[in-house]
Amino acid sequence: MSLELLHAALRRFTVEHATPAVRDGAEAGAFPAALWQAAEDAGFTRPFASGGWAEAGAIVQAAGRDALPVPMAESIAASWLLEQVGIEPPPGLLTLGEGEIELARSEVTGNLWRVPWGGDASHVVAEAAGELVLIPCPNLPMVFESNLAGEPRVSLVLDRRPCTLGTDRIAPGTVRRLGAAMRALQMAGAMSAALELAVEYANTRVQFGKPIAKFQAIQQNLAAMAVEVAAASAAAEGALSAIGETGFEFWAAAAKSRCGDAAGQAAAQAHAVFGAIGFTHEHALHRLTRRLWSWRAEFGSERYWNRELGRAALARGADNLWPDLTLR
Amino acid sequence: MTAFRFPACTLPPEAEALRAEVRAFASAALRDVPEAVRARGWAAFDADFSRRLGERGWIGMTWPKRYGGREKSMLERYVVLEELLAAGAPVSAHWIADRQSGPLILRFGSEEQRRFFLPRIASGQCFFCIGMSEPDVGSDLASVRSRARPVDGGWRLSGSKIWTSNAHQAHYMIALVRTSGEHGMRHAGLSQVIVDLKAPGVSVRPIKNLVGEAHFNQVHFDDVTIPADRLVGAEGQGWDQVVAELAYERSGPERYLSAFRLCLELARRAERRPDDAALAEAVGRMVAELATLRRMSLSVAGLLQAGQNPAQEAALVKELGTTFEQAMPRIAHALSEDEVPPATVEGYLTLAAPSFSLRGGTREILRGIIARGLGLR
Ligand SMILES: Cc1cc2nc3c(=O)[nH]c(=O)nc-3n(C[C@H](O)[C@H](O)[C@H](O)COP(=O)(O)OP(=O)(O)OC[C@H]3O[C@@H](n4cnc5c(N)ncnc54)[C@H](O)[C@@H]3O)c2cc1C
Repeated sequence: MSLELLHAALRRFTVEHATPAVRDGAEAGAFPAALWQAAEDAGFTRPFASGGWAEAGAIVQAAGRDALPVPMAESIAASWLLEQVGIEPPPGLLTLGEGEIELARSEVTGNLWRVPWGGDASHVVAEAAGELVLIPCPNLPMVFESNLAGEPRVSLVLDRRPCTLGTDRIAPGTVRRLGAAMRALQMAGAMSAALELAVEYANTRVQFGKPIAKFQAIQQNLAAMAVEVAAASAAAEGALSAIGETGFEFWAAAAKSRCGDAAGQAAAQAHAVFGAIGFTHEHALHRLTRRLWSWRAEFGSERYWNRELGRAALARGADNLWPDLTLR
Repeated sequence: MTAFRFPACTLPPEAEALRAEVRAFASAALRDVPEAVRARGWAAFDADFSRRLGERGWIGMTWPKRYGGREKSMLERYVVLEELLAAGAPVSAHWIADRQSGPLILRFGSEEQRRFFLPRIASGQCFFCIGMSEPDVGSDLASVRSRARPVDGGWRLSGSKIWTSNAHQAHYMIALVRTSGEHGMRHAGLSQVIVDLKAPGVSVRPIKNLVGEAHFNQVHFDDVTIPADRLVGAEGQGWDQVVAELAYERSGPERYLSAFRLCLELARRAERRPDDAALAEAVGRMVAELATLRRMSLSVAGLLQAGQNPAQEAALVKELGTTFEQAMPRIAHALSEDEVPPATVEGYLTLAAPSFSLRGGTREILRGIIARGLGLR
């Protein structure tokens, strides 16, 4: 499928399957099984069967743009990671887990904290002692929580849980980095959608006898928002195009940091434009902004990644600051 | 359409090969230049340095060979610019001629103008300045008052320009002036003329800026003779030409690298204080921003190379870039308990930073351009 056709298919998918009722149900705790099934049927959860990260990235970005209440990003990332270490991705809903776990004789013990859709997943992919491990989820002891957007975040307790190991070891931080890149892409998607909504609203909402878009204050604020959205999109695309390459360690960190920063600003600017209607449950804006506020803190906050970037840059030395930048 | 596109741009091998050459040249040429001087970057005037760049073919390098250019790509030019700026090279003397006056003459000028001016610019021996602003005319550029009246064989120019960077050291000015119609007719009747700054009737008075240096000037024209062949493009088409020129002005990496020597300084401070987590964090944030800005700036160069007109994207990158440059002194201050002596990188950039979002169009004007691109006006 060409990228254009894929974009069109994703748009149709959202309109058809992610209705407000489905979204509200998901937030109330009912897993949107029909939505997920439709995503699986369309190939959106396993894009590598027919494409690469260009297609997968478009899906992840669209999942953010359309605030889809299902873990498409997690499943895509998990399936890719498994393939890298020679594990055939099992069917069903896959997710990524972070926590403290120990590995002994193909069994894992410890905790995975706030795993996205951990209660609905068939398997979680995590990191233990330099290995990627595939752990079946059903019937684990769980603590159910959610993020600010009402997406399930479920802590899993592992006690000598049998797991599958890959043939190759992985670099420490692999899961976190790919998770960060996914969140960066989702944030870029959500911010672009918020900007689009805000521009459309500004052109239609009339006050003082004219569309509020005609007020310079609104124009200036939305322009400032557009700058942030553009920067976030560029950084996220930097991460996307570096997946699997040497530059990924840098771009995953830079993108998560940059998008997280932009997310806070863009969400605030969008809300300012919408006035009170944007503060209601009924209006769609919060589906985007609550995700932005959640995602910027997941898989490492700005502070976390800035420190990583700073340490890495300083380990290379100030004299390499410019030469290294020109290699990105 | 609400989102601006910044397609990825990969530099070709010949551009990367050129990088090594430029980097080695700059490093040798600037070995003994103190940091506080390097911090001035594209505000530092050094005619000899410009001539040396000209000898190497690094000025006007994308222009046709018959006009003294080297027929290199926009991407090779990009590499030369970013390497010189990052090194803090004194590029101010030829900067405007290379960036906008030359391209303007190449695009709109007569064959005779191209043959006369372009080889001189490319050899680093002919410097230009931009005569747009006037005492009563800033952002509202279309209301310029300087006026050239037609006479036999050309024009007689009267009026004045202000904030003209380098007018006291440049050879020529490209001035936006009224050549027909009345003041208030806005875009119609404006033209661009090349003014010889040595011509009788031209007087140049340097204006000291808040840093204490004189880079910009007030320029008076008292019945200055402008030969007919010094009109650039068609009479009355000056406005469209200026719009094109401003896109050149805004598209380059100088719009995020003005504070690069302070970025380096911050990294050096962090190196000296390895236990300062806040400093390391600031360096990390800065690196993320620099990489993002470079990616976007390079994308604009790629769009130019592809023959597109990325005026909107250039305005957006300039706005993001100057915001970053202006934040740098604030960040450095927030992480320091020391006073800031004037003759330092931080001292200079603290003083110079307010100008970053003024020159080349103010922040508010650029946001207005972005808002137009968003479909808000
Ligand atoms: C270091 C430096 C070098 C320069 N070099 C040159 C040069 O070489 N050649 C040259 O021609 N000029 C030069 N300039 C001038 C520069 O282009 C102008 O400063 C700039 O265009 C703004 O004009 P102004 O200073 O008159 O401010 P004004 O236009 O008077 O603006 C003052 C304030 O009002 C705001 N404003 C104005 N109009 C609007 C509007 N429509 N909507 C919202 N806000 C608005 C501005 O954004 C700004 O905040 C230079 C300036 C500096 C600082």
